Amino acid sequence: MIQGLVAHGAVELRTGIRDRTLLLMTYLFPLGFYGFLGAFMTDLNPGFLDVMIPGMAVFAMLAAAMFGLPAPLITARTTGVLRSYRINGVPTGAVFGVPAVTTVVHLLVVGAIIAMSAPVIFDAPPVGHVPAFALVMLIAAATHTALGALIGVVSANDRIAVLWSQLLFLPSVLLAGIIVPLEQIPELFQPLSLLLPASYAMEAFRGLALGADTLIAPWLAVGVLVAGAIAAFVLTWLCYAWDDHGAGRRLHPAFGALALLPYAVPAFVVTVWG
Amino acid sequence: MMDTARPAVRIDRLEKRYGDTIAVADVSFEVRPGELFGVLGPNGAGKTTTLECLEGLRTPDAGHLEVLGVDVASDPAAARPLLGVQLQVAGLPATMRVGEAMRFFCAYRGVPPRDDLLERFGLTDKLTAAYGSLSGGQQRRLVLALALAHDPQVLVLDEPTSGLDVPARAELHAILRELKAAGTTILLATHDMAEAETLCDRVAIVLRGRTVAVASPAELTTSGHGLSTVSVRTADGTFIGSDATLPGVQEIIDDGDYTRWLSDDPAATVTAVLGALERTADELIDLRIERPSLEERFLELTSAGPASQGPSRHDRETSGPAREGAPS
Repeated sequence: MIQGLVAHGAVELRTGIRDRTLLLMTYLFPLGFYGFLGAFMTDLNPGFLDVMIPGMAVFAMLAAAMFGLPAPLITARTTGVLRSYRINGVPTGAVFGVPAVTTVVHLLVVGAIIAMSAPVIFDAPPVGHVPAFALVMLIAAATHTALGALIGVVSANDRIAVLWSQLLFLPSVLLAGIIVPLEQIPELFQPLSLLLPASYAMEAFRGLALGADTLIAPWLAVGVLVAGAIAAFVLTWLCYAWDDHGAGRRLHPAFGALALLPYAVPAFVVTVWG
Repeated sequence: MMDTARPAVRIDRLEKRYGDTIAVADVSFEVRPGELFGVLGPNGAGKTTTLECLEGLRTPDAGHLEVLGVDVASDPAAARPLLGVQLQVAGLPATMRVGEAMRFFCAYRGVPPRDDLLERFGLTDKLTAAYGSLSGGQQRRLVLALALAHDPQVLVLDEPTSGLDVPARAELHAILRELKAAGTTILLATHDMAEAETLCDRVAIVLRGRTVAVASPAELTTSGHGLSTVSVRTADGTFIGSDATLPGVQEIIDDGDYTRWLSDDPAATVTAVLGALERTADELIDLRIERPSLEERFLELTSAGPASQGPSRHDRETSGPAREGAPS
């Protein structure tokens, strides 16, 4: 089994580079966007520099997890790859777990590129606490890739997956503090911000790695991200089917919405009790 | 060493429903060790569902399935390594390379990579080629090589030549013959009658989810109502235009230099033809006997309909023990 997982991981890492869509969504798109915002946004909004490194790292997570992960899982299901895996003894958890882990590895590389280059190229404040940055990067990447895997598993086809991905991606870019810090988001939208995993990732980065004041206690944000990652992985496992007829599925795909519960609870608490 | 007394595969009164749809109503057959056994039926007959139940991909609603004595339902972990499977609808990631695929699946199977199989199936020069760039025939050969990587005792193939061109089909047939010669038991689902007639030792015909016949292709073709064709060409054309009555003959056709008799007793017809030639001192140039094909027998069974007619007397006789008492 271990031997199989190692071989699977090696193949996934290589195919992640070979596959143009994955390469685009994991490296080219987020790093290109980072370069674009670095070149123009810093003039328009100098405050952006303060959140540039975590913001672009979280953006990379969103791009890779929301647009890079679900499509290959859906294609694998519809083209019979998952049937081949099942018949050849590839465990269910490995089918989505290994791509998720390799996506996290790619994201760590992207995060390291951003963290090292932003202070040099754009004069962004460097990461104050590197181990904390790495820890939050790891946890937040795991959370987002778990959600990406869940979208891939519960979506009947690519179009539906893109719809779900956009529902998380666009609000996250606008309301999660990636471009503007969370406390500067209009109060009206803050409850919505707190429903987004990216908001907790940003707060954890800012509080623990950059030493900034945050709206949510940074370790609480880390706790929410961990709970979110566990919920998403468990739901992915329960909703997983190895063919288009739902074979092997233990739970109706609608239950995938429960993955937002770890964010809904603190959002409710903060909204009601401040 | 395979136990030759025990069936390699035993399927007994299998039933499988998808909601209100009955995919398999009553399928039973046994595959003997070393046999190349065909499961024949039109699309939607229940062949794939039957095989998927055997492979552990589907859970049967009723019935019993065994592979080399191992109960598939109660001990799937023990049954799975005994089987090598090529699915009808299956694939590999398009960017996965041939060599990678072999290492990948062998790692999960816990066996060393089988580059010898890639060589045997003519894929050595494709080691670094992506699965998506292979031709249909090469993809089938790769999947077959992967299915054989752990040396399974029983190979299950679901429509392995479907969609292949003639050379690729012939290649795959040659591989299957090689595997059979090496002692591998092969269970082959197909709707290609010619393929079944050429390759299989015995076949089961499945119609509307039920086994309607289990026999060798030769037994099946001789058991129906189809007529054999006896064609004769002689130097003097003794039989041309003749309406002489010969034993077993139902119809006479003049076809240029040939005279053809449609006969329900070709042996008697041929004997009578040869006797007539001896009497007339005519010289025999060509004599051909064509039995009804498996396809004709299959169409005969299909038009009879299992639900309305039930298995014929011969079908019941040629079916395995598991067919006894099957509903008609």
